[in-house]
Amino acid sequence: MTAYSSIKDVTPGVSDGKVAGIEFAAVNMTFADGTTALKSLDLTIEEGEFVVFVGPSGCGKSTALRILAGLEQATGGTVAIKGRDVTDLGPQQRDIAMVFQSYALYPHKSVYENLAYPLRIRGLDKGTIETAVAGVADLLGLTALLKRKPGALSGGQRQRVAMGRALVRNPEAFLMDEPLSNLDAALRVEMRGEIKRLHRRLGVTTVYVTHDQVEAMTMGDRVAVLRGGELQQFDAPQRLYEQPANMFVASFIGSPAINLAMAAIGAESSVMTLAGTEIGLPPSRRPEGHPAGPVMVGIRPEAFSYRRDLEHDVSLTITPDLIESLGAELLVHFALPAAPVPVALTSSAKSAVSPIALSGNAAEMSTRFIAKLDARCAYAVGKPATVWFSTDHLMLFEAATGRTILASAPMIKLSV
Amino acid sequence: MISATPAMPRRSPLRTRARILTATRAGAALIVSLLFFAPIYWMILTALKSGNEAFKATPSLIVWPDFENFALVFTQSNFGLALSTSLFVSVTSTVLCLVLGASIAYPLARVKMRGQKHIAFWILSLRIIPPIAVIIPLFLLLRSVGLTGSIWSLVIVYTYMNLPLTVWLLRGFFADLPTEIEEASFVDGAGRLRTFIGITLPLTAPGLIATALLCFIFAWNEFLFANILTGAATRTAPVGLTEYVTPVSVEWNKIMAAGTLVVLPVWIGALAAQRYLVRGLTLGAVK
Repeated sequence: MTAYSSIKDVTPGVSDGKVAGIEFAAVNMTFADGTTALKSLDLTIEEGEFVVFVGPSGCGKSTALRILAGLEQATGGTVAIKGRDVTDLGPQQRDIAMVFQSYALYPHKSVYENLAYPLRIRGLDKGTIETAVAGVADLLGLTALLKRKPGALSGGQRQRVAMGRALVRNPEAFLMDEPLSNLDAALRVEMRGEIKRLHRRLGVTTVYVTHDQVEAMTMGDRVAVLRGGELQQFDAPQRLYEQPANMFVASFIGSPAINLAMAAIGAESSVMTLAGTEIGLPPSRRPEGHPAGPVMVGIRPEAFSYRRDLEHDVSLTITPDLIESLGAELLVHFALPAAPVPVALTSSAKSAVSPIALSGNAAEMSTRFIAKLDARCAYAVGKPATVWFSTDHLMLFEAATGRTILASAPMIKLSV
Repeated sequence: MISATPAMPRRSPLRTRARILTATRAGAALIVSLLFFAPIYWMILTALKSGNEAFKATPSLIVWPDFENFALVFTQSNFGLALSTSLFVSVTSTVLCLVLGASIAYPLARVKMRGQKHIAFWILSLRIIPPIAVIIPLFLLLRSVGLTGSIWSLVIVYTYMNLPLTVWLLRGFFADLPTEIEEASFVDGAGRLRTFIGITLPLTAPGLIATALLCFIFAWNEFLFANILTGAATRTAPVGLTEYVTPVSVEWNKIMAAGTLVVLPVWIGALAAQRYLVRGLTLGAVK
């Protein structure tokens, strides 16, 4: 064994010779009342990366962040920041900065004092503090507000002060707990861009928690999707959208949500039956080795087209029952005579898969579908029409577990 | 040409009703205020009367102020000493109460532990015991350590009497402070003590001031313990008042002058801290 590999064995956070920014290793969290918030979370965040934890409420994302901050003590596992095991250290010793959902500014201190507080605690001299605060205030456009108290600031300005307090002391990592959720929609979009630009400029490892999948997709270099305390998938936003590891990720990412229905794979894996229509699968979509029988199929609303072209070559005859206009596009709602997928596989709470949907008679059931179509299509409510989709965009999931069946999708550790 | 006729001012029945309502409310408030103010006015009035004037069968409601009684209270008796004893005992016990109370209340509000609510209720239940029930045991206890007749016996007793309410009130104020503000301070690098002194205490100041005022008023006005536990040299102001009741006479004008002097500091204190008192006592009730 070489010296290098022995270091690698004992030092958390060292992988492939590179020190990871942040590493969760088998982190468990069970609260005193018996609620399990995290189940064996394994996650390695690269130095300088912007990672978003996303999931429905109660999925454990905030708990993971609080454990990383040292505000909560994990019941098992280790946490390392820049290769240093911080599991047993308090938040004071971790050299991290955090932006809270409520901003948690000190209401009795002026903006200047709020920004200077972390530096005063470190015992820096007055001149250094003044320079640092002035620099951050300038960066965030707070110079004119330095003498004000937080109570006299708008929501957006408070948010900036909270950011400034995190930025002022060059921490090892930034942690942000839904920092934009108290802002109105327009300001949220603006601050989203600003936080991203700041990250690009400073290059500090950032962990950002949100329940908003749009925020997650637009901001994260990589996104960790959590559900019921378990990591579902940790990937780049585009991969989450195109190759979800399971049905939960598929339904959580994307708006409007992905259309899901029960289908059947024929004796040969090249043919699938959906709503009574036989569909030939291209080689990339064939569930090789999968036994004939029920599967779950996912089609994104954006995968539909109102006209046939080289890509969109499979048709479905539908009767729109609701058409919503988004301006450039229409959301066409229709019912597909196929059995719906078990709710347990897509809902935020984890529970056993109900066998009813699997054994039900598909012909008697129908599933709600939405197609996002070009506004030029002349569809009308109640009038039968044809929509086209591309089999290249089909997603197939195991009927029993909801796991993806397609080999090209990343297979991560799952315990569905 | 446009000619304008000024519209006749008309009173809507709704506005008239609102006016009547306002007037009724103001009238009721005035009557209640007068009821509360009357005894105070009577006290000050009698304090400003000369000896004979105070004993008139038909008391006059307006007098030419005569401050002689106030001078006599200081020159003829030791009321000045009694006032300073009261001040020392009240301030010391209040400070002790706040220091001890805050250090008990903060963990009760912040640290999760089993049976927390029971501990808090047990502390409050100490306040339910009527003081008269504990006076004999307390007297015996204090005598056995040789503290009867000493100022410190009162400091100890007042701290003991006020501590339960202090803990209960402060626990509420600390619990109402969002934990995130303290957590932000931890993340910023401050320890628990520094956060408590630099962030928690300033933010709960209205509550602390309100609590301090309540402790002070209790200690300042307390008569029962002061009467039994003090000697001639360590008499507090309320006990000092009884000096003017002798077997021969009751010197009402002096009692009232001394009484006015007793009320004055509390009155000034309450007025100065009114803003905090209202904020402190409604803290948590109104978010």
